[in-house]
Amino acid sequence: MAFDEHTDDRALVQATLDGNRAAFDLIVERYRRNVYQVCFRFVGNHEDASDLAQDAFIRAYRALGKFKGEAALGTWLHRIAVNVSLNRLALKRPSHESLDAGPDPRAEEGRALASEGRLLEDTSGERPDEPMMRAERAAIVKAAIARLPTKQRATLILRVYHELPHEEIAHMLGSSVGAVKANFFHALQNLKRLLSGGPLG
Amino acid sequence: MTPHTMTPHLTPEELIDSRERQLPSARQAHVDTCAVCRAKLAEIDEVLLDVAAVDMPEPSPLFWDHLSARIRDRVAHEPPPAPARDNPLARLGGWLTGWSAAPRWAFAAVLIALCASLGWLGLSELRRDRTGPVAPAPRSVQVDNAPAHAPTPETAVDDGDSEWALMVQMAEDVTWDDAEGSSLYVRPAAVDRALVELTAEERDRLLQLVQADLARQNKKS
Repeated sequence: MAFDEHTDDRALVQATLDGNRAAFDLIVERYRRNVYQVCFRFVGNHEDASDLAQDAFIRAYRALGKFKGEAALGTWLHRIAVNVSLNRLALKRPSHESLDAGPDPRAEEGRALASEGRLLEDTSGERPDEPMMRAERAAIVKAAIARLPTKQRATLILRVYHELPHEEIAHMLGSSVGAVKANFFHALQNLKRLLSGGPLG
Repeated sequence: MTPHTMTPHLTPEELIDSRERQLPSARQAHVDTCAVCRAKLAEIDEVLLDVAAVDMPEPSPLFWDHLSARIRDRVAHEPPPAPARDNPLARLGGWLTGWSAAPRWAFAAVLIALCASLGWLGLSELRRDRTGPVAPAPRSVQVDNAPAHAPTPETAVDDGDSEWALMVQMAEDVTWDDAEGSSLYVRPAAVDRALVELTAEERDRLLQLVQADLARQNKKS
């Protein structure tokens, strides 16, 4: 059986279960970006994110027989990616990444461009150093997010970057909806403190 | 007295609801007149702007094919995924029917975590104890308010602690994938949480079981 980008997810799952590994390749191709992005948001670096994305797909492959089709395949893979990432965070030591932010490629690039005077050629109307300042600010915020307690961090990531409803987050994290909202609030409050140079609350 | 002083400030949950326009109008009326709550909402908005500005770096276009190739290689070494089958955890769930949902999940998570960390709780030794002709009196039987008389190897498992024996038998078939497929992840702090959620009686029983098995492992080594 030939598959293409129009082949239904269900058909791909069934074909994989029937022993057709090419069908699983297509599932990977279809969802790899989303799965990688989920993982990246949790671990914040490319190396770990690509390892986790790989693990997520292998787990999905092994568990494919248990995929009931009650949720969309993408949602199911998303959950696996979140769980793989949360397990990794639980195993890792708490991050002590400095809020002064390590070298961020975008900030570095901004500095390099500024030193070469190339930013002066920007015709977008913004100040020449604005891209660099934005990149530096983003790196600082990213480092602050990495310092949040795991559950607050997970809640923030799932809500802001993946726009999941509170109910879905509660299901994934094994919490109540109220606890998810409270965690979201405390995550934001802690971020505010961290970005102002204060300690976690 | 201004209107907002008559009602309490918004809770953290309500502040989030207010930002997402989910707050009941009666509570929203408080926000409209309360500078403190409005300031908190402004703070939330400010931080959210910062968070939203952290974008995703796009990997090299070559990365995606590389990732696919890595996954393909790994999959090539995997057996084909098995279709859904009778899951031993379903039987486990059935045995625990009398429990509320949270402790049942918690207990199963603890069981799996303990099995993994204690080398399956010395199951192989337990099996030998059950089948061996001259096995020494097993120690695991002492955990459940065992009678004063020393049990025989058979009664040790089947009579003295038949429920645990059933758990052990079922746990032998449980793989991590089974557990995961049944949503029985050992999530971060799951064991801590399980211990908090178990009733005192359940905790005592679990503690006794673990202590008995640790003692047996120590004696063995």
